[in-house]
Amino acid sequence: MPRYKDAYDPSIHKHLDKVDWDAVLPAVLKYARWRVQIFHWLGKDMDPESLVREAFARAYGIGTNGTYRNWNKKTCPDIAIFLKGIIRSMTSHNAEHESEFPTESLFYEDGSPKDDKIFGSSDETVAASRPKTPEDELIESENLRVLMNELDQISCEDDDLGMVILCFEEGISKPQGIAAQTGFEVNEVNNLLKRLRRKLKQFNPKLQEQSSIERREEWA
Amino acid sequence: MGINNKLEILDTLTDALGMSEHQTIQEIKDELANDGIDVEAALCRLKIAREKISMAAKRSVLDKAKEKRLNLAERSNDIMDRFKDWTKEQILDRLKQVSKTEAGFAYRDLETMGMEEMKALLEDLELSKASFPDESSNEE
Repeated sequence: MPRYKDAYDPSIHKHLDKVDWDAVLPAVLKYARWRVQIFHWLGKDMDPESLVREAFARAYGIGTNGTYRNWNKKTCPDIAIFLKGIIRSMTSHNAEHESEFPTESLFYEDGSPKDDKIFGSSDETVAASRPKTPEDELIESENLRVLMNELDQISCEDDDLGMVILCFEEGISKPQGIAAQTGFEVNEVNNLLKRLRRKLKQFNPKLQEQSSIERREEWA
Repeated sequence: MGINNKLEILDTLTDALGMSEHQTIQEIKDELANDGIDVEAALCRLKIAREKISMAAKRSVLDKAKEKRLNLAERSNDIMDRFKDWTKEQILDRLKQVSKTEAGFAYRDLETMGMEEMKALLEDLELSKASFPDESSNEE
């Protein structure tokens, strides 16, 4: 049975239950879809839905390893922003995802936990996360190098997108911030981001598992 | 550029590409469908998942409350048993010790109380202490 920690405020449950999820979920799913893209670009497969499910679990106080987030409606009235924040912290390169968030979701698609024991202690949960092999590390850094080259290539071919990519290098992600930095209108920035999404969809990284299979075939 | 810097750029890039503040719900759904996601099926699965997680969380709250109640009942039995054979002096000493933090506690009234009354008062104080343990033990 999932357990919540004493510092979690269970009165949040009733606020979460009242949310209009039809209005919130598409934006959260879209954000998760793009955050998962980091893993895909590095050669790993991850399901955006599993990220959203884990975000729900943390918001309800019963996340992996006993993790939880107290939703403060006063400081963050928009639940979509709150859930995106949870997803970001799970997938940020300097956050806990490598050590604490298992690559494989702990929930079935319908939200029921795969293994009740997994919520009991962190030791049991660590086993769900497969450590990186040297081969994985190699593929990751190679994919990262190729992706950076791809971004450089896009910058060379398209000056406007080049300015937007420069903003990312400066840590600016919000359209308003990019607009202020580049002099574009916000709607122009949104169109440029749309164009960038299309271009990056064509980038196909080498998958880590696929590579292992290729390697085994070579050895056979 | 180091790996960490490159990963930071990916963080910022995917933050930007995952934004949807300027889009309507339908536009977001269309974009997800364009990316090959069966949007309605995915949203339906997520809604069911949320309901199940909500139920599991509520069960967890009830379980925790039950566990606390049982612990308290066990402790109160221990407390009742503990003072059974105590002398008046022992009870007085313990009362003074336990009631140090109780505002407005009148020590002079203790002397006028009978043994049973003192025992009952001590049990109440010990139980109240057991019900509201030191908050400093809370973990995040």
